[in-house]
This record gives sequence, C-alpha cells and structure tokens, in this order.
Amino acid sequence: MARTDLELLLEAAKRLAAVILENGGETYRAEEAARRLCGLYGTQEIDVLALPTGVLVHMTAEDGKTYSALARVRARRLDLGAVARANEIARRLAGGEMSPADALRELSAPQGQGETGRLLTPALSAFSIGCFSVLMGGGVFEFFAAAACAFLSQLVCSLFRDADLYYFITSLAGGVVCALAAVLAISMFGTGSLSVIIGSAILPLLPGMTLIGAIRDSVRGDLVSGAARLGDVLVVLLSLSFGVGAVLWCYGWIGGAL
Amino acid sequence: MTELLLHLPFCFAGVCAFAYLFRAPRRLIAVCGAIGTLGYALYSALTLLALPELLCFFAATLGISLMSEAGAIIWKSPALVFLSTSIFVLVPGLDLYRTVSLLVFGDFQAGAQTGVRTVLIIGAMAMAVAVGTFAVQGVKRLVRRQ
Repeated sequence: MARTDLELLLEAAKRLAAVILENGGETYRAEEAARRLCGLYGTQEIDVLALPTGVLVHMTAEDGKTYSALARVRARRLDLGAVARANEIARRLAGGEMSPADALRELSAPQGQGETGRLLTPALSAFSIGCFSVLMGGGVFEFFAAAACAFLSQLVCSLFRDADLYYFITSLAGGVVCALAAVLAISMFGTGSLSVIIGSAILPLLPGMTLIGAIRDSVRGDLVSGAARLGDVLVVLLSLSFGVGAVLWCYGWIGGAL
Repeated sequence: MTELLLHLPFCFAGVCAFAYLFRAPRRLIAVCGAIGTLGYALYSALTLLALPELLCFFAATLGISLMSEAGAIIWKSPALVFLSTSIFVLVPGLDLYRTVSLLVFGDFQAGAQTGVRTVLIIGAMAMAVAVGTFAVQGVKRLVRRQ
C-alpha cells in the first residue's frame, strides 16, 4: 500500500477517535474504532491509547515502517449525533463502503443536525424539565417555574461555554442561576415546592453522560479513563452543589423558608 | 395507577426533548423516549409492589440498560445514545437537592442520611448499567465464538 494511503488511514483513524472523545463517546469506542480502521490494510502492529483528553495512534506497516499520530482533545461537549455519525463512518469503513479520504472529508464536514439556536436549546431544556417536574410530583406552577429556571440556567451556561471557561465555573454558574430563579419564583408568587423546582431544574446540569461513560469504560477495563471521568463527575457535582447551596444559604439567612 | 398513566406522556415528552437537546439522531429520538418511558413505568410498577427502593432503581436501570443495548443492535447506533437520554427519568435530582439544602442549613445528620441514600441510589444505577453492559458484551462474545 502506498505511503500516502497509510498516512490518510492514520489521519482518519486519529480523527475518528478524536471526534468520538470530543463529543462524549466512550474511550473504548474511540480505541476500537481506530484499531479496527488501522487493521483494515494489513498493518503489522497497531497500538491505540485513548484518554478523555486525547488519543495516540501508532502502527507498523508491512514494510516495517512506523507511523504515529496524536490528537489532543481540549474542548468536550455532549453531542450524541456526532458519536452516532462517527460510529456509522467506522462501520462503513470496516465494510469497505468508504475510503479513508472520504471518511476524513465527512468527519471534517459541518455536523448534520446543525447548531440549535441560542434560544431553542434553553427552550427545549425548559420544556423537558417542566415535564420531569411533573414526574417529581410537581403541579402546574412547578412545571412553569422549573421550566423558567432551566431556561435561564441553560442560557447562562451556554454563554459560559462560548467563553470557553472551565467546567467548574459553568456548573457553578448554572447552579447559582437555577437556585436563584427558583427562590425568586417562590418568593414572588408565594406558592410552589422549592425542592421540586430545583430538583428538576438541575437535571440538565448533572453529568449523567459522563458518569455512564465512566462506568462503561471501567467495565471494559479502561480504568484510567474511568477514573478520569469519575473525577470530572465529582468536580461538576461539587461545583453544582456549591452554587445551589450558596444561594439557599443566602435565602435562609435573609429569612426565607424552604 | 392513574398517576402513573398521567406521568407517562410527560416522561416520553421530557426524554424526547432531552434527546433532541443532546443532538441524538432524529430517527432515534422517539426510541429514546420509549425506552425512558418504559424504564420509568417499570420503576413505578416495582415501587407500587412495595419492593425495596434500591432494588427498584437497580431493576429499572437494568431494564433501561438492556433496552438501550437492544436498541444499539437494532438501529446500529451506540447504546450511549439511548442510555444517556433515558436514564434521566430515574436520576435522583430531588434527593441531591435535599442533601445540599439539609447540609447548608446545618442539619448534618439528616443531610448525611439523605446523602448516603442518594449515593446508594446512584451506586445501584451505576451497577445496573455495568451489569447490563457486561451481560450484553458476554452474550455477543458467546455468539461470535459459535
């Protein structure tokens, strides 16, 4: 196989693994996709090391020459569509339906579902949280109050994410805005359950996907990645709890009742 | 029972909205909603049977995990797509809030009690996800060998 083809293959494998990691996919999935891809063209030896913060792909060709590629994952987001698309590309590559060059083009193209609007994302979040507040025993007031809290916290979080601030700050801000909006709603209208409103409004801020990734990586034996993701979960939970707790403490201090 | 039936449409709508929010493939949004709703129905049914709380969470999460793995096989999409959206119906957000508020207001005993309960629930859910993943991987290996 020509050298340029191998380089394309390596680049595609690296890019595929990086896309999976950047968008919240499991570490073992990134490693398997890259390893499967590199194994397609009779390479002698393949080693892939993936962590939540980057991926290193190393392979030895049939002629004995070695190739390596490293991708650093700096910004992480939650995009299940991107993970599913990367999975599909890996499947098509393995089945011979796509060449590495085509795969690279697709991976580099703007993502399909497109950025949801600045207001659509918080609005959807608001609607879903309103629905979840009903599951927690809330009524009509809790539905709209929880929806409003989720809308505001998601709006603020998106601004913080755009500013590329640390997770810690984003979660802290989200918790503060969520609790503040809930406390204001209760105080203004004099009705409603603060626990249901905040308990449902913080759901989008909880690191559920990261925790699932940590568990699934650990079950697969990828303990470094599992531990790293668990650390991420703890940081987010602590900062969120701190944000909510700070607002509740101030509320209690000025005489508010929970 | 009536309350459960009233909750189901909200459950479905909530999970579908979450799935859209997390940019799940559009063709799978309704599937995520269905899995989440079935998981919630299972949890509620087990609760009505007065089974221990942790067992209810474990069983319902296991159900969601297995349905997600089945969805992954049927729709050829990562199980993570179904699992991470559907599991929100069981996440103990209320207990997390209660833990924080009790600790903030100095009721450390009650806060610790609620906190431990919350951690146990999350632990039960985590174990269920692990068991579901492990079980399906084991079955896949057996099938491949044969």
